[in-house]
Amino acid sequence: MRGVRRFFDRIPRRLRVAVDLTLAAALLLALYVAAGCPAFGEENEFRRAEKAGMMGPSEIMDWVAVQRGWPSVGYDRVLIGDDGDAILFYTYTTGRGTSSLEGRLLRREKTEGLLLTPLPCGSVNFWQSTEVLPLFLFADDPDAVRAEVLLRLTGEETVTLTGDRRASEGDGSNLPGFFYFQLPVTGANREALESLMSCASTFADYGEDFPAVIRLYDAGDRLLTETDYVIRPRRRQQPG
Amino acid sequence: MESIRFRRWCSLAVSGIRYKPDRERVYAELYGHMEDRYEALTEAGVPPEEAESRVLAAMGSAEETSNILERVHRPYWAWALWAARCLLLIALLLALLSVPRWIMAQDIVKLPEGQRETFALPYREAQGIRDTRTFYAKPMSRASSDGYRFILTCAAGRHIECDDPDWIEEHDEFYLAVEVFNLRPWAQYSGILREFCAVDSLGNVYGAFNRTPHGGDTPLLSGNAYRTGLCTVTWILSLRNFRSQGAEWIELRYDQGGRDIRLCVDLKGGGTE
Repeated sequence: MRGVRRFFDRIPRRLRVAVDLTLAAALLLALYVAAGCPAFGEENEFRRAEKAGMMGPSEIMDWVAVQRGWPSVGYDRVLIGDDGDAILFYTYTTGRGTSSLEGRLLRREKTEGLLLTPLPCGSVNFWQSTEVLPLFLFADDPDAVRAEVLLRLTGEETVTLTGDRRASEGDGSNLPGFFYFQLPVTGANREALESLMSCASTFADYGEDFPAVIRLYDAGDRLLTETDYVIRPRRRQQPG
Repeated sequence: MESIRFRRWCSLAVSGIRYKPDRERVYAELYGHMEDRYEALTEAGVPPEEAESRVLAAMGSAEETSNILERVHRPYWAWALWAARCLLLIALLLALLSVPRWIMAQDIVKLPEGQRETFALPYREAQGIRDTRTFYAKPMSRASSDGYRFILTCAAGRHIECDDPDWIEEHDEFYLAVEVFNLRPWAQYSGILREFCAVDSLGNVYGAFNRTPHGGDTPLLSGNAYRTGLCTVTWILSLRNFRSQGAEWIELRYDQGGRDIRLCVDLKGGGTE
């Protein structure tokens, strides 16, 4: 034991510090991997999900907090990115409980510069009449400041949703083409909204199509475009 | 021999060394050195008090020695070594608590060797199902993107007949095995192959699992993933509602987000079992 101690005492201190720090770094790296390689931050998780899903790189444009319905507690945060051809949604869950869409990056392609889809928060369960279904509209028209969506939920029922272009936080400038709507849940439309909500899922191919008319208005409230659109489950959006 | 004068001199000489273990070590060395000189003088016949004085005179000024030792024995590397050892100990404890459990939780499977066994369907033989005319294609096509490395390792087509045609109709099946390698640990469980579609030389398209309605007679590329290594996942894929009889090649494709990944299976010149 004394001989071993003498051997180590002969090694210069700088070298011993370097060896100890290298070993500690290796062990901490193993610990990091064993802990599941946490990403430290929402944007890092978003970028990782892009790499893992071979998507992007997109520009993170906005994030939305959606309150989760009972019995879950907390908010889902949805980060929204734009890669030019599609909009990417990344759901980040906070609070208690889990969401089936947590940590999922969903890519929805624009159709002729438009995308209308339920926000993939996955936690709205329509148990309470005060709940709403959040809808997202992207319109690639820089002059559009207001949007109107006529959405047919059932054969007879059509709802009209209006919204202004979303302003980003910070400098208060308007985000290009981002519109958000909230569709209130009623006893009559509950079933239809559950089917509409499933269109946000990666895995659904059941359910109906939801035709819509999208009208865009400029700052002077003049109609810019009126386009027919259909919200359908992703598996039926395009073959191949 | 215990000398108060020696001890006093040594204490003063090492007082500038801030790192205590170094201070104690140098103190012991100086005291031992002074003792050795004292013994040599007393053995030569010098009286003890005079020998003490001579040794102290030879050692010189304790203050000057203290200044020199302070410059030589800076504490910084010693403190750095102490901190590094603490960090190493903490890291070792944490790793011992977590890493073995992580290793045991890795559900790495070993797929059977050989193409036939890789695509084995053990239930079939027991239920009167026979596969005939198994044909093995020549794959080993490779592609890479976003840190992924794809290798199409083997492919096989077979013709299925059943004694009870009411239960399973006679049909053709085709299977592929794709190894997906990615060094990034968080990308190991990606379902990326479910975004691939397949196309053959006849123009048939087998839709991607995540982007095509299931059921019915829709041609579909589907499959399951098996973790076969720390950084490797092997996908066993099948072409549902196979209709590429007579095709010269089949290609797996991914063309989203500006990527263009193609893995080709050459159906010409393969072999039967």
